[in-house]
Amino acid sequence: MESKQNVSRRLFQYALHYKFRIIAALLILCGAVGAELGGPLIIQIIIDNHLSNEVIEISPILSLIGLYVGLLITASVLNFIQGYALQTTALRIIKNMRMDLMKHIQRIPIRYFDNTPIGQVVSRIANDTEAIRDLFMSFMATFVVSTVQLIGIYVFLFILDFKLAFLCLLLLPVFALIMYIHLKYSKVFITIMRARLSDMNAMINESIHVMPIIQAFKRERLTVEEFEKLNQDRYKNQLKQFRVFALSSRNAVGTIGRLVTAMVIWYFGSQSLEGAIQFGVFYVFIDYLGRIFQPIIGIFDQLTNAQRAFVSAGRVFTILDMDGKEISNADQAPRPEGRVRFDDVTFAYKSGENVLKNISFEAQKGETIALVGHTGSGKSSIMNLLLGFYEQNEGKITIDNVDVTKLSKQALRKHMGIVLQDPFLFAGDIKFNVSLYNEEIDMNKVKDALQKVGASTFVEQLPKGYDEPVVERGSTLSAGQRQLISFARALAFDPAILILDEATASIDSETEGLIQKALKVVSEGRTTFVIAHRLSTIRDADQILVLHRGEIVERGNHEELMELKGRYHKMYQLQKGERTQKSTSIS
Amino acid sequence: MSFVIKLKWFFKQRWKSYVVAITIMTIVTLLTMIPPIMIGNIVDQIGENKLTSESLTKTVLLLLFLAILLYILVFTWITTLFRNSALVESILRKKLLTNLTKMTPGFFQRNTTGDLMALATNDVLAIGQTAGFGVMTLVNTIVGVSVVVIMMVSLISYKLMLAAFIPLPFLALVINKLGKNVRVNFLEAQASFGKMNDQALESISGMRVIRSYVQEENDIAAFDHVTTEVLNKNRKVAIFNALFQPSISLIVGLSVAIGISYGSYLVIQNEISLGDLITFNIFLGMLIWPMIAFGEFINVLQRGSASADRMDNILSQQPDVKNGEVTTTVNAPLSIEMKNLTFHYPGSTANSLEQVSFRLERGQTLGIVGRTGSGKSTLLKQLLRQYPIDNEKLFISDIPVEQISLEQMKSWVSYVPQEHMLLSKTLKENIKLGKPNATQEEIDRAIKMASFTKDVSRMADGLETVIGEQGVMLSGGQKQRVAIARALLLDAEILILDDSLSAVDAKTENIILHEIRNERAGKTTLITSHRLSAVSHADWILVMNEGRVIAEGTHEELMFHGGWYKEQWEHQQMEASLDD
Repeated sequence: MESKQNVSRRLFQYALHYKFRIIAALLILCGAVGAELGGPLIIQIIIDNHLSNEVIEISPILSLIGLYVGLLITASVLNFIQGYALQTTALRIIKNMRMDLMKHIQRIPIRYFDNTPIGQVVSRIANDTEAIRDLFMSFMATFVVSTVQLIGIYVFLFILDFKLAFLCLLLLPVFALIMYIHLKYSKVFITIMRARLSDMNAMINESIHVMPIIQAFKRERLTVEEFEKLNQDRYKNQLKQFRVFALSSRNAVGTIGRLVTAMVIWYFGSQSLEGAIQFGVFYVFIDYLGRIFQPIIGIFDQLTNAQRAFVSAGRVFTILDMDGKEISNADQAPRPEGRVRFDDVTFAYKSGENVLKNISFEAQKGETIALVGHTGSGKSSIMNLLLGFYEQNEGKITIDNVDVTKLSKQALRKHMGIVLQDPFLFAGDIKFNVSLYNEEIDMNKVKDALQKVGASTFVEQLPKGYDEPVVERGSTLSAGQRQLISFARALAFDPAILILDEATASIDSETEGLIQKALKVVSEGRTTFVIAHRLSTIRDADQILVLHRGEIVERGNHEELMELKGRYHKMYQLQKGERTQKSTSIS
Repeated sequence: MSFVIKLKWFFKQRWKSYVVAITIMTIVTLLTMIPPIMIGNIVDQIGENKLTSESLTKTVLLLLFLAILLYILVFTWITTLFRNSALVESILRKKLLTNLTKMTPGFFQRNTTGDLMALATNDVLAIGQTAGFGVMTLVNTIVGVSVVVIMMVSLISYKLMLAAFIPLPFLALVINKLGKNVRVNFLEAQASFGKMNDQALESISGMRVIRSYVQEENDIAAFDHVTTEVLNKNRKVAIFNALFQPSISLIVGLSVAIGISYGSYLVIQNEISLGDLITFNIFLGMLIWPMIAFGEFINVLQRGSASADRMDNILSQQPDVKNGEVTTTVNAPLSIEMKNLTFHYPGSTANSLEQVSFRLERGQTLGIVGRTGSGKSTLLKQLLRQYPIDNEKLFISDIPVEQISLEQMKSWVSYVPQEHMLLSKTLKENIKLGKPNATQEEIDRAIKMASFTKDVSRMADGLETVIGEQGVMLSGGQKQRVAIARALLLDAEILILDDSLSAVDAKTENIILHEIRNERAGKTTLITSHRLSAVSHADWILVMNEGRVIAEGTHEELMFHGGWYKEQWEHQQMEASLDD
């Protein structure tokens, strides 16, 4: 995690992007503060120049009041403008930060996402930036405004009475001291309070999950007792925090205010004993002093909140600092014929634990290659390498004799299609899930693709047909239907090389037939890799590679492998057995 | 109002503290009226040349004394009042957890973890805020406004008060209106934030698809669309937010303008003095907070009431399974018997168990097998009494189970669930869960029976190893064996193993089952498993399908009769040979 200075500097740089906007808003703010503080001065003039006279005329007073109202309206308008401008600037800064984050996330290697819970990444994009937003918003709306107000008040105090204003400057170190003490102590208590609260939430959460065990093992009372320890600790620290709050903060600031007021009364009172004083100045001085405290309290509140936003900002910058590969434009990438060759490829996710060992094979243009084997045998790793999600440690992968490491990831994938085991459907309608953002794939092509894979029957039966929204990752559709849609997606993109990770989820025999047909349609004329779970679907494959613990242990076509009577044969028999079982157990 | 009703018990308990706090707050408000009056008096004394150095010193000393007195009083009411808010939070939290520990799975189905967690965090805090801050704003409004009004009328001029108050109702109106707008727009902004969250979730979960189809740029563009939406919605909120302070200043300023102009007129007419006018103006400034406080009060109260309703709804729920009216004491579970038991989960229409019958004598082992969803676990759960069942269907020692107290039932049963359900504590604490005073010897024995001794010795901190949330530090098989050791430590009359060896390899499974058979001779065991080898030694095996028992017998009998059991057995034997 980065140092606090570093984080502040980088946050400041984001703000610098809008320096003119911010400067303009600050100028408006100065105008607003000037107009605001001009009001009491007018009252001072009314008191000193008119009300203190022996004979008082009402008309000049009324015109001064007119001016007062004028200033009031000006101040309000300017304040609104600066408030809105500063807040929206903060919002814009955050939008930029979010976009930077998202752009970078698309550059980061897939390895990061395989090792990081999705929720955590989403939380960086949404929640952490939201915390930074709060920091910017309150910094702009409270901290900056309060500071400018404070400066303004002091300027006016000095104009009114230099000596007294000078004395009032002493207030600032006093407030700083109170603030320091307040922060120092309350930080301790607030940290403990927060920690206990999250401990308690974790405990409630856990207890809900393991409640049957707590009950079966008669731990109810002990669980509550354990919880009460945390609860009481939070309670005690909360009381301490209230005490610190009641001793410092508003109460201390208010008390100092009263003390200063007494001092000002004494100052003007004793001056009056020596000669005439201006009542208006006396009044307006007290008025101004009364205005010091609100900004001070505002600054107080902000300092306590800033801490958390810094932690969030640190986390966001950590992601932004990760290595990533630029996204290159692949529109012009030439279409390969589709000769794929693995040459002695060895690969490990964690060094020392090879999941692929010396894999070699070659796929000719238009061939279908099937990969079979148990979970963990290395089938998916081959797919990960081929798509450039990971890079092999040793060996070479070529497409049309071109080393894939020489291609940008985008150029490599441009003419590849993929169908995942758990076909991912986006929120959007069916049409979008086939064409994605590709505008070249119009409605006719979508319909055509769905029709070819045999999905149009069920799609057209949906209430809104092709416009039917996909909800919750397509949970309203069956696994087979989802896979057919992703087949159509692959077909519509017309790839030269197609990679299919076949669905394992329970699929009824009718859908399975459909999928087999779709597979034939989609693989027509393309080099196709099938990660097969159901061996019956790959009987026609040109080559079948049997993987076991990262190695190719058998290879050949279906007939050859069946004759071999090895692993493939055994697996095939086993699956056949399962099928007959299914039918018998139902009866 | 519902807030007060739902929290009547609390206010009843703490009324003294509230009376003290409110009394002090009132005194404080009254005392803060003194400085402005003093200022006015001094101005008048100077004007009339009556101020002496003595009276000035007296006034200043009085003000200094007042400042210190107020400091102490304010400290007292803040700590007194806000203690209640901390207290109600902690009491509610305890009540909530205590209540949760009494609830059965049905309750947790009706109320999701998310809902309950929201209750524990947001709602508890909202109620606490209402009981502290909310009460403060209410008192500030009522006492603040009335004290100022009384002072203005009695000391200065009711006419001036009425005139200056003309703009103030607008203040309440504007705050109310802006507040509503902020809330509405804020909700919309939140909704757009939610959409952005969803979009980010989609981008990350669909990362492989997006990258495979080279849609990165388009995905970024789509994200740009939603973040722009978030920006625009929040800008709307910013408009109303930015309007707040200026509108308040404007209205209060108008009030001051009226006060000064009409006040000047009254000074000319000699109805009030210049000092009175100055005092009056300071009083006017003292009204701002009580006015704002009222808006805050309404806001806090609304949230607090909603939260109190939700909390009350959860706290008032009763457990689904309770002790029967008549309870019979049974010394030991000599037999377990089900007679035509049919069961469906609450909220479901389909039966999960249908006409299930079996009888098991003390010391016997029952194996239950069948496909996923065939009702194996559901059957076992009946012994845990997690769901209400029909009377006279399940018998222990030939006594209907509803006549046996839940406590007694629990004392007989030890349970290894399908999901290991470990706590984020040390290994030892997890294993000792049901028997906190177990000796080291007993613990070691349980660990040995669960074939976990070697694993413990390989861990850096041995038994003191913290296993992390849901046991993340352990492998699947290790988690299951910890859960088994935890259950075996109890040495209970009835042991339930609910598919709890699925992540353990076949060899270890054999060892564990062998240990269990030896050590638990004379005690009853019920096992469900996908792996048939786990139940092949059982005294009786039930084969289940769709909630019914479709075949039963010993392993030999079932193998002899053929069918699902035999096919599955052979299939698993062949599969095992592939793994070598």
